[in-house]
Amino acid sequence: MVKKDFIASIVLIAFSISVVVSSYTMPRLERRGIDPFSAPGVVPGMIGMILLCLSLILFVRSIRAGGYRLFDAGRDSGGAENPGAVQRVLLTLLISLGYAVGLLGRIDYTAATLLYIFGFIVLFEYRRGVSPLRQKKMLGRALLLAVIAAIATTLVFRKLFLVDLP
Amino acid sequence: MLEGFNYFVGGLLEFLTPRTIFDILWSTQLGIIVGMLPGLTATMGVALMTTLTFTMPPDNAILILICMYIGAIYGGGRSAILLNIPGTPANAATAMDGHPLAMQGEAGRAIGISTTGSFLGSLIGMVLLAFCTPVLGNFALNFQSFEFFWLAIFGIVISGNLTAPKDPVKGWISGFIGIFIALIGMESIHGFVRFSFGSTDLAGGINLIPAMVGAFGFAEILSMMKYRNVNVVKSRIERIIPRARQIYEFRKTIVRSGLIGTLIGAIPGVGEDIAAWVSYDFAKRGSSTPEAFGKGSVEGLIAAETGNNAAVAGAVIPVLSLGIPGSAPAAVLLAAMFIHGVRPGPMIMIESPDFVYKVVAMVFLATCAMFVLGLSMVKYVVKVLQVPRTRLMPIIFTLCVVGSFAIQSRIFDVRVMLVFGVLGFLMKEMEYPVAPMILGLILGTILDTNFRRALVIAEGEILPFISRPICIVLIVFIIITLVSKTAWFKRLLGSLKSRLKTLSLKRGTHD
Repeated sequence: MVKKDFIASIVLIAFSISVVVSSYTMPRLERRGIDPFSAPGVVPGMIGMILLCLSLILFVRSIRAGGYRLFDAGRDSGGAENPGAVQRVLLTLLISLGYAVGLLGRIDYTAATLLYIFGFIVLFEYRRGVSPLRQKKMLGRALLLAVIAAIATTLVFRKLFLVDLP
Repeated sequence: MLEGFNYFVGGLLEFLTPRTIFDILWSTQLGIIVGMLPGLTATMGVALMTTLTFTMPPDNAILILICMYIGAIYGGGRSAILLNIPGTPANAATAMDGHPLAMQGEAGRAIGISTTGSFLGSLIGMVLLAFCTPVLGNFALNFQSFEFFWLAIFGIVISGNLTAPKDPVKGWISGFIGIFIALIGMESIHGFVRFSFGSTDLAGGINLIPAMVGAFGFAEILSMMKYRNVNVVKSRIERIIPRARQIYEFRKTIVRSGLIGTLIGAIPGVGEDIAAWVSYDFAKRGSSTPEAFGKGSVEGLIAAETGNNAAVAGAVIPVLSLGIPGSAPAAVLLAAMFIHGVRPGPMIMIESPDFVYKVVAMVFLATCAMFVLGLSMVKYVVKVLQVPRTRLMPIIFTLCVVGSFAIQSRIFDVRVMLVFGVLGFLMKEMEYPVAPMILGLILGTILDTNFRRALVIAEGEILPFISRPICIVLIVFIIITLVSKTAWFKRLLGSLKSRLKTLSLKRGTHD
């Protein structure tokens, strides 16, 4: 965790400095005769300063704990006890982004949802090295679930709860 | 007092129509299922329900949300008992003794005990909600901009402290990032647009519901998909209804956990998970058999479940009296009240006192529904736990998308949900609590407006900020919270304790 803390503290320091600078350069609306204490940059500047102090504490602490030795082995050995975790998270992220950003709004909601649910199940349940013919049951089940879920959500949201869908 | 009771009975009678009873039953049952399913939290459930009910009349919509909230916090105990995976973070302490009980073949008994504990905890919370809200609301009428500024800071500091016990600095960073996010968009005093980088969508600010659906829904999906499928334990469930004598035996634990749960729930942005852990810890310390805790102790299970459900009503107290949420799901509830035109805050006892007692009636009805549903259909409902996560998660994600889109029909809100989902996941991975960030998102506007207003009133003087009586109390609380985890403060406390001991010993020898 110390390495992660070290990297996070640097990102946070950069972020808080940028908040302080942009708050300082924010217009003070003097031309509108506005009280300088109510200028829009006052609170963001204060929050930026507080964040900067907290990130500096994190930075100093992570350095003391040796977090700056980024390429040392043995520290922060996350993932060893859960192999494939990063791949599974990235896969989930990619397919979900593909659905929410790529498909929705471009094709019909029901079709997009059907494709997403079917794709998600197949991606995670498909066994490599086994012929697709022998996985017919899984594919059929995934398709059935996708069809039911896509139609049911569309009907429930649109007809029952009168909600707009993307 | 009598007026309050009349409002309560009036509200209760108003809700006792066949249609409303049907709404109470389905929403509580849905809440139980949402809570049971790892990956679907109470926050997510309440946020989704807000979307689905916003065309309904306000009272019905808020009733459904409260049923979902109470049902979900209770339902999370089921998966904690049967799978050793808390359905919601609030049920982590439940798993400590609930799962060992299930492993000993007493899953049914554990579910019965957790149901009764939740029911009693919720009732204690409800009574305190009815008594404390008007008192706190009337007290808050003395608050001006100076006090609201310190209250917002106190909320962030205490929430960061309690939700990140290992490293409060991370909790505070999370809270102040939340405040910063709340500052994005058009500010309320001069209408100036901050940090929007020319985007008209950002100029409108970040909406709470999509942010929460992302931070508690999508982030949870990513966390769940990190792991391979868990094996479903097929426990036999036999007798569920607990014996009255056993419950009576733990009456002290129940009352203590109910009071602690409500109090922790009422602290801004802390929530049910901490309430359950603190109740559990106190029960262990006060128990005659502390060695049984963690090995299937009925007392431990009852303490955790009483604590977390009492915190639900506790979290609603600051929502109604101060307009500040006690927990993440309560934050959604607060947002939902605003959507439905209810303005919670110090003025509520003057503008619409009946609404406060209506909420008490809602909590009562939801608690009763939870008790009845919790003790029936258990064998059938737990079958939901057998659905593999690879099939459940894509469906939950489609709900996240609809939940964030539907209120304003903007694709931008779906993107906000995605960003907060990734941010929430990364924060969780790096041990930053998400709850203070969400609290910051709510408190940001309060802090911004009140701080600048106070500065203008005081003509830039700092003295009024530190000399008003309530401000002094808040500042003292903030300082104590800030230093409470430092080594020198602990040393100071230790030396004070030893001095007191020697003093009392000396007195003893003199006598």
